Amino acid sequence: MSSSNPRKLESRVPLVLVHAADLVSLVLVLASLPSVLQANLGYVVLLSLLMVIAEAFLIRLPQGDEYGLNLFVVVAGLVVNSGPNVLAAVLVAGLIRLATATLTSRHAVIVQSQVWRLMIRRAALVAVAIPFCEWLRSSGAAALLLALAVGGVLAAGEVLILALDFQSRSGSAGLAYRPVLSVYAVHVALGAVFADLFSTFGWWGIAAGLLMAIVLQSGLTLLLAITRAYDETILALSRAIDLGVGLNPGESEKVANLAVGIGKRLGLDSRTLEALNRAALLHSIGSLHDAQSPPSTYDEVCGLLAGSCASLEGVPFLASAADLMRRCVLSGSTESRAEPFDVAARTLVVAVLCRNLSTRFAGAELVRAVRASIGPVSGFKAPLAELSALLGASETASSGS
Amino acid sequence: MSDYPRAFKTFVWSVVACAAIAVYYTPRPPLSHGDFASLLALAALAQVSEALAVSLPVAGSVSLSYAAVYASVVLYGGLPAVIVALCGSITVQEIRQHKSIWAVVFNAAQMAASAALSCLVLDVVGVPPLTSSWSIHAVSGKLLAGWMLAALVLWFVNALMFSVAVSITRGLPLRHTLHAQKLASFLINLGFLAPLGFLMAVVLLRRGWPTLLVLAIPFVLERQVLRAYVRLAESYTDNVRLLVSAIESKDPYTRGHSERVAFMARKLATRMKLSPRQVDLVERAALLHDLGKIGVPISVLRSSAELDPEEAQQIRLHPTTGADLVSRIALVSEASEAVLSHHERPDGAGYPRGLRDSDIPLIARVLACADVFDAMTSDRPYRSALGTDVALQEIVRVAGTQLDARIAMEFVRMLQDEQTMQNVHEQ
Repeated sequence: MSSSNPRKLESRVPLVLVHAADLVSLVLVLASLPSVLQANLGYVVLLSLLMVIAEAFLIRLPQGDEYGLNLFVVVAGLVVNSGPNVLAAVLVAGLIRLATATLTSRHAVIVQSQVWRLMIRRAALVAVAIPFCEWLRSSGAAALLLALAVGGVLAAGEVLILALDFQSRSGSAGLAYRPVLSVYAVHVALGAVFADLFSTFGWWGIAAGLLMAIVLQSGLTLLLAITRAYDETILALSRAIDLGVGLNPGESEKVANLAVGIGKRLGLDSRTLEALNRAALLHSIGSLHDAQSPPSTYDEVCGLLAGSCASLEGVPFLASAADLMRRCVLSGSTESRAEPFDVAARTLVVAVLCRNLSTRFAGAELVRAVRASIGPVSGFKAPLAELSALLGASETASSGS
Repeated sequence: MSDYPRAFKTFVWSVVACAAIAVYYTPRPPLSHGDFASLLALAALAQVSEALAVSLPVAGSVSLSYAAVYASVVLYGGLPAVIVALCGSITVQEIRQHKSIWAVVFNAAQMAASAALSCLVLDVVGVPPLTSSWSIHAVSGKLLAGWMLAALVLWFVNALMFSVAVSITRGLPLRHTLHAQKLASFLINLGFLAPLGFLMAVVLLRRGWPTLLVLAIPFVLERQVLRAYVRLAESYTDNVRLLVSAIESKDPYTRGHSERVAFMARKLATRMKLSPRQVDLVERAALLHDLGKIGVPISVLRSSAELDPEEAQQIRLHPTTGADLVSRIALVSEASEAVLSHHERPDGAGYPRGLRDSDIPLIARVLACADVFDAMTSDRPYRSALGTDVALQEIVRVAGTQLDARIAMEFVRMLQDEQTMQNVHEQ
């Protein structure tokens, strides 16, 4: 539990930010409570009902996080109705979700905490947006412009807070996933259009607009489902390959987890991490049906990856993984000039060696053994340092627990 | 240009004549200065959205041009709607690709005819264009029925003419091409695009083009998402095929086996008139059916001697292992039951569960026929490949005991038909 470990401190920073944001959110919501008490009950019921409907259509992200979006109702509500009504509706909808989660979830405490935090954050964002909305209205902005500006601010705030939250929990910026951002844009744009048409269609128009937003959101749900199917297929095949090469099913998954763990610490972007994950899952495909012991030297790993790369060539969706494997035979680029894929290739070599040597070594000895296997080949300083930090961190955690 | 049959060219002239008559009788509403800007916006939207159409696996292609044309039908009616329809009938891309003049004329004529007939329907039932009189409070059952009828005519005339054209050019019966107009396409056009078109019309009437522009944003974004989905969904099976063949290529005796089985099983499932979803499932199950064999030692798989009980047990485990692996993929998890049961036999002597007759899943029974045939016609360590005729005789012999009798006989007929066709081609 050494507080001087810079990596440990670094991983805590987003968590500190999230807690600070939660605290500020709570203060903002508490400060807004007097105005909430003056809300019109009829409108609060109507708006919270629409919000509950909107949030019922969950978006399931690749990392397994699920969340519902009510931005359409908030944007339209702020423009065509009053701020306190919307704020009250956000809180009521949140409480309804909290009650539902408590009744239906098997892990009620965890879910309650997530729903509670989301409710407070959303309410705080609305509390901030209300004066902004009033200021725009008083300066004579048209309904369309007003809705777009308020929606933009709310969307940016929610994306930022949720991204920080995902980053602190899973180490990946789930909301940075581009198609998810497009759903926010869909909610803001439709909210603005139907708020602008409120004088023509009234609340029926708002309900129809919500339906349209939900239908358009389903396109993203389809895309996320098919993306998951690809990942599940690779995972199933990696287990099959483990069986074929005489390893325990799930061994390649461990290599992938280690490689992605190191890659994240190296700051690799999500596209490179995805290729690294896939390459690590299928790294043994080249040795199928060739009874070999797991490679434990740098040259053996390079040979294995070169064979696997040949097997994967021609599979379009694995082209980047094959490219990454090909780069394991390093082109001699220096560490400072290495491209992300070169860094990822070295990370893969380190992860494969580490897993294969972990049967004989542990902790600092394991890192030394990996370093010795790589020998004088340059370019491995950073991945080895991160491996050392990662193993150190996990050892600290296990001794602490 | 002259590739089209004479019948198609005659049909194109008929459609042109039909469009000319419909346009002649269609009303010509007076347009104000402001209307021209809105009309231009709709025409541009029809053109752009047609160029950005997305092909869906279940519903043909989807574009917003239907919504733009329908918006012009309810907003102005008559000639302006025909102009918008013509703008959406051909894209710049198609002109660049030197699309046949017959195809261009057909598209333009059928779009003009659809829009003109749709406007005529509104005129006949007495529904005025929105530009002449519109108030949400004055919406009556008659108006709603008129707008719905116009949307239906716009879709139906378009679908009918397109089906006839495909039927003529490809020599298919009309009922087949009409049948191919999928329900999903009907629902998308009538259930989503028509209301959207109506919304566009009201937006243009009440708020003007800036709001229409904002309304277009979600659909442009949706197109990106949908296109990415379609690309991934359509190539999923191909990617799995390539990946499985990469795994199989290591063993000369199984190389290409799953791919051949998938090819035959798909053809058999199509011949048996299974639903498109089931056909896809059969193909995917066939591609993955021997995945569990990867866990069987290569010495056992390549053994030319009789297997001892322990080795036989290892072989018998492969459906269970394979099903376990496949069940982890949500998209094909339904295929896991077929993978588990592809060595079951109607007489109950199969493995791993000893199921009988209809207890064996249909997809597994289809898969078993193709699997057995390919195994017999491929070289094995313990014997050479059998000839097709010998293999077919063997399938007839085991129909009802090892294989489902009805499916096995259908499989035999399919291969015999193919052989006959092949002989005809060779002669």
